[in-house]
Amino acid sequence: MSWQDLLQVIVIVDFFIVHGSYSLLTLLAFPAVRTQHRRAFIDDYPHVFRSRLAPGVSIIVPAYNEEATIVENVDSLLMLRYPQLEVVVVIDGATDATLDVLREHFGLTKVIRVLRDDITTQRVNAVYASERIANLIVIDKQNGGKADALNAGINASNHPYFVSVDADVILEEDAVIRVMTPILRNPRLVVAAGGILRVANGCEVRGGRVIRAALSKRTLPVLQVIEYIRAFAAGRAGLSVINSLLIISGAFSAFNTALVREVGGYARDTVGEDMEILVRVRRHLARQKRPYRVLYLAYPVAWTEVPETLKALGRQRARWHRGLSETLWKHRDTAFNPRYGYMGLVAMPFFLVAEFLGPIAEATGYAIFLLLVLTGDVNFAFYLLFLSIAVLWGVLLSLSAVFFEDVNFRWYETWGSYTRLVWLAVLENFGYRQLTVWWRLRGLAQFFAHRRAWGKMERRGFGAGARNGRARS
Amino acid sequence: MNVPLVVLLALAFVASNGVLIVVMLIRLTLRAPAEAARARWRARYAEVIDDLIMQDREPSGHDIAALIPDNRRQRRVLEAVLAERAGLLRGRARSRMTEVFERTGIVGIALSELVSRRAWNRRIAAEVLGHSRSEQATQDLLLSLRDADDDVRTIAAKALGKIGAADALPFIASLFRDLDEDRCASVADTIVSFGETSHVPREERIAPLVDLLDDSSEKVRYWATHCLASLTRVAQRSKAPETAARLLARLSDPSARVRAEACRAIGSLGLSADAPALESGLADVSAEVRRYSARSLGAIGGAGVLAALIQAMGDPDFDVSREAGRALIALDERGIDAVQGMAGAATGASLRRAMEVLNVAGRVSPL
Repeated sequence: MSWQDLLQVIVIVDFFIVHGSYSLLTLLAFPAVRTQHRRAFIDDYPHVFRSRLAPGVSIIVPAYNEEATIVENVDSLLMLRYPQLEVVVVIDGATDATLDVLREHFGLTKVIRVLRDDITTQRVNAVYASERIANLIVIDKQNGGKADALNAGINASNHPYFVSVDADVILEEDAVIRVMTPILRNPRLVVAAGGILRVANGCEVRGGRVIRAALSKRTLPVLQVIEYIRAFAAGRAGLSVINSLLIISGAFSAFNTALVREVGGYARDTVGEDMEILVRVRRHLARQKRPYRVLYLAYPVAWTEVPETLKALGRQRARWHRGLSETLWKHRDTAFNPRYGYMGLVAMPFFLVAEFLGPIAEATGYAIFLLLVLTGDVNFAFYLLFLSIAVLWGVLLSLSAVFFEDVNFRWYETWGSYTRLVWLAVLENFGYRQLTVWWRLRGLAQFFAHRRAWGKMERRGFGAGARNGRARS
Repeated sequence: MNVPLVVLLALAFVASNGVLIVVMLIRLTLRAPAEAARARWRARYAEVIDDLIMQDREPSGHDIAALIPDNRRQRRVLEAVLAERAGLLRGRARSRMTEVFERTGIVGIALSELVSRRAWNRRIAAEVLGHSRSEQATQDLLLSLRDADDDVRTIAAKALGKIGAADALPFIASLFRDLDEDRCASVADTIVSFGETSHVPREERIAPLVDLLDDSSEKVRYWATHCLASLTRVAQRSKAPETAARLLARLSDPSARVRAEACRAIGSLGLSADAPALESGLADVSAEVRRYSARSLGAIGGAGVLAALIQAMGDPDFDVSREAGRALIALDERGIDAVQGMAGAATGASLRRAMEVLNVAGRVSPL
């Protein structure tokens, strides 16, 4: 067998493993999400809202140069429905007027508060509180990145659970109640939970709430809608069923505060801090032989603005893949290790093969094809058939996810929206998919080069008026 | 790779995609009228029900006739509309919702489904009966407390709580014995919020829990003290000594979480005679017990607790130290004066905590 043949076999095997795994996850996810959807009636969320035994929750919002949106976002967080809720805004060395606008709007004054020092962070300059709003705390600290800001928030948190929320994310009014309900039902077992993240571009946003879900007129955000539906509604839901979730989005996730303190808080040496913390929590619990569950919930919705330019999207995807690679590398000893249960035997190998090696295998496949074309050794019939299978299988996974969405949630009201999603689920395989492979390879290269910058994210902002671009720490 | 096999696979995917697209198109085509029908029923039901609420009147035969659902889907819509309103209303308006639940036949159907062979149906039925707050359901729900399905028992308990069936309390409390910890949390929530609308006196909720304080199971003792900590109030002082005596005995429980909840419950009772026992809790090996002791001492007050709380401000556990600071603030001027007195000589963590207390009390400002 020549080296080209060997590579071809590897690529084909990887392809079948990856697509087979995702198909299996989709099959697992469907009944689980359906049950969650049906259980909503029994879960009786209004009752949770009135419960006197519901544990307190701190919402931690790391903020860096968010002057344009921070007031609106904090206002909407303060209006979330939950019995005991505090909002901890951590200003991570902002260079704009984020602190000033908060001080002015909420009447903040500097206070003396003793903060925990369980987790080391950059120096806290001052703590602010409002006389009008007792459950709002603002921490002004020196810049240390998102993980450091989250750690400062955890140090300031007064409650047994915290929800990390990105400053640019819009939460549904009942999102915290919903994400906390399974934790309340299984407080000793469920250590973390995350909800679905949806694309806000194109939606009608008023008063810090998404009033009407709609697709953006631009194609790039809609392609990301399909990716988000596929990743959350099928992938993560399926992984949650087999207790193999390794990531719950940092944009909206709930954790047991004491447990995160126990493991030392978020890691500052990775750009994938949301995945890393979960992996570390899981391995900590596995080592202690403590039973636990990490849940993905299909409903608690957080809406986020996704990049609208290829440049920004490329940077984001490269960063995500770099974060994934860093986490997998850091915790490589858990892979295929039975000591770590599902994480060691299912989750880590799956992420390694499907997520980490996926883009390498796909790019290798394209490279071999080109090489064989150039050398004239290509079997066109075989390659065309293989390509058709790859495309058709990808389309099937995307369509299943869109179908899933339609059956369970029906966020989009019009025929046109779903028709567009179906079309783009097919078209994304020609060009867009290859671009994402390229971006992920760039992320991998950056991982090997140990680059740690977050890069820039140009945001248009929610609502009617587009806002200036902002940079993230 | 075998080419015919690849062709077969490709065809299979083409067929699967085709089927999925066709199913989606059919769904999209049929969905619109089904959703429009649901929206229409919802609007129709909401109009009649909201009119009853706004006009503050009894439902007439004409109203009920307009509400009676023709099929299962309509019934689900009506249940949802009624449940939403019942959850928000109080007093007479809520009683009317119950009447609507009963006269439209929803209660009758739910009662019959409470003995369905499918556990899922029994769960839904128990939930609906809870929303209805219909006393007609009390006996059947009591029987459901012995259902083979844990969820049905838990939901039945919740439903009885909503109805406010005080007689059911001892049976509900005894569920702590045979349900797992997670469902116990739900039962505890039921007991604490039991019959809020029908004003079941706290004493009636407390009695069955006090009976469980000496249970041999640590889980049962924990949940009983946990509930008591949320139910006991200064208002129960007349009957407190007896409850307090049983709770004080739990301060020496081998389980730390039981001791912690006992501290919390004693603090809620607010009997100053119990302060010495709580002061000893400040030296407990468990930080949780020390934390709740500090909190309860703040609630109880009395000159004797000042020194103990001042000392607790220097506790190595962050939560204990913070709770001691809060307790001193709760003691008002005496507590603040004591902190001011000690601040001059304090160092390190104690000094930082003292400054925090004084800042909250408005005696010092940050630089």
